[in-house]
Amino acid sequence: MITQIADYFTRLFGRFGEGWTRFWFTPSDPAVLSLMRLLTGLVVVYLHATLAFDLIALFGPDGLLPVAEIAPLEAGSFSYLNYLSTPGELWAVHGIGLAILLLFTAGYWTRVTSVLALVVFLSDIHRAPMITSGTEPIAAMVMFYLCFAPCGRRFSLDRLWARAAKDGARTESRVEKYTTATIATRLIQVHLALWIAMMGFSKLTGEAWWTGLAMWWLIARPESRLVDLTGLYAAPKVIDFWTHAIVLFELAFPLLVWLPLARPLLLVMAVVVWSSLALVTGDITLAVMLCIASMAFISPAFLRTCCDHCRPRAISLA
Amino acid sequence: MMEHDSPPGEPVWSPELRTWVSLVLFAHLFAVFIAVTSYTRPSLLQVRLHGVFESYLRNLQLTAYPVSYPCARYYLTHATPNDFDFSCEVEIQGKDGAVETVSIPPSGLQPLVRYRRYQALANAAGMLGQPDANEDLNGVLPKAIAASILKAHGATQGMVRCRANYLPIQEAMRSLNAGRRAQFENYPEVYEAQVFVTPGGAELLKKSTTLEVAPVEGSSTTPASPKGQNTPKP
Repeated sequence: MITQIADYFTRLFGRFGEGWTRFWFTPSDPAVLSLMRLLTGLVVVYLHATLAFDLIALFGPDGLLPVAEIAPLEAGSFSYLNYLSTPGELWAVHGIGLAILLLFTAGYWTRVTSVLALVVFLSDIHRAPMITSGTEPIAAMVMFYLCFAPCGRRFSLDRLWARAAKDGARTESRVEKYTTATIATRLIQVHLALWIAMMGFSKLTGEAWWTGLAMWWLIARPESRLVDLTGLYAAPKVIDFWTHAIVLFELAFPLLVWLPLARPLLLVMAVVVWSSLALVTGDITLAVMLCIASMAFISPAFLRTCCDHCRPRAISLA
Repeated sequence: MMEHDSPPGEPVWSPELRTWVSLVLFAHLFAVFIAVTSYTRPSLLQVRLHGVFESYLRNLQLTAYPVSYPCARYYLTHATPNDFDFSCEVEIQGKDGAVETVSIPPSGLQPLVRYRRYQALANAAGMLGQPDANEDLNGVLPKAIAASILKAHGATQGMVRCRANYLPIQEAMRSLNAGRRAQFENYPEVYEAQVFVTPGGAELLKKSTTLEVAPVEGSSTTPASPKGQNTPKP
């Protein structure tokens, strides 16, 4: 009996170990991560660049958010912007930050610029968390994991110049695979699944998401919405359905997205759900960022097929 | 490290390296799990564990657990007084007695993300300014906002007000035409204070808090009521 129990646990741990190793350490193609770098970079460049319009009004010496005044509201996280006060300093550092983010997006010296870009972006967030939304934590999460991955191997200047250095030879037809690409992809997948579960469960703690009224609360907010859908008052069942569908999706996604057969369906549904939320909350960047993060579930082979199908034969970025 | 020479599907890292990396992954995922599960109604144990990993999670922005108020509303709305959009107004009293009003968020800001930043700032000020909020924190943002605007206009005193934008109830819309819709979008004050700018800084003299009439959580008919029914208490 004891031998059987011991045997059971030996097999259990053995199988778990094999599964763990396969899940985290099987090398994979970083093509999807590279595309995620490009798209996340565009979102982050947009967020950083638009901050320039209000840089002095918000962070300047007589700005709306002086470091010392708002300190009690913050967690004391690091931001180099906390140490700058004059408009000249702020503009100079903002410009350098923008240049770093552009280099990261373009995939130039990606190993270094990915880390620097994360520092720039986190500094923007930590300087004044009260002007951020749900977008920034998702973008920061993706950028953090991209730091560990060879995300400049595709869709990048690094790639172009590496090819140019080989005198344009296109001899390397094999797919390059990296363990770090797998680890970064898995971390994004697991973290995103947990995050979406958190979004779903946090909704369940509010009665409005049970009664079906939550979407009405969002539709009725004139300050935030992109589109005025208050005409839906006449169709309460539609609002009910919309409310429940969002919760159901957010609870189903973290479980079902791991099933290969359900994954394409859930990814399409994700685009629909996030887009529908963007219409009523007005938070387009959050919807875009969630869609980009969800790309971690796309297989590199599928992306490669799409690229091969779409691109002209002469151009071979992917 | 390129690893395309390995057989497909086989790990190429040594078992020792995999063990150490697994340990780091486990610690990181545990911290992330604590951060994620602490977002809503955390237990005392979760709060303590979150405190253990706090500097790691905060500095990498891996947690949405609020510091002083819910900055990122991933639940979108719980139909509570915190879930309104707020606006802040600073009434500037000029030296000639003329009064000018500056609003946050300013209307028509483009690109849209700029408007959203100012809206988030007004929401934070409104949420923190509510009567049940932390007394030490509720004047922080109104004071900073008002002082900045008064200085920009060269004024030394004015008023700052945070207003909650109540919402129309779904059933009420049935009997309304579009023209009367505005009646339901009233803006009762949640925070009002007089502001004085001196060479030593800004001082706030809080006047009133009036969200005692705010809707009760969970009620399906309380997002708003016509103007007059939610009038601020004196």
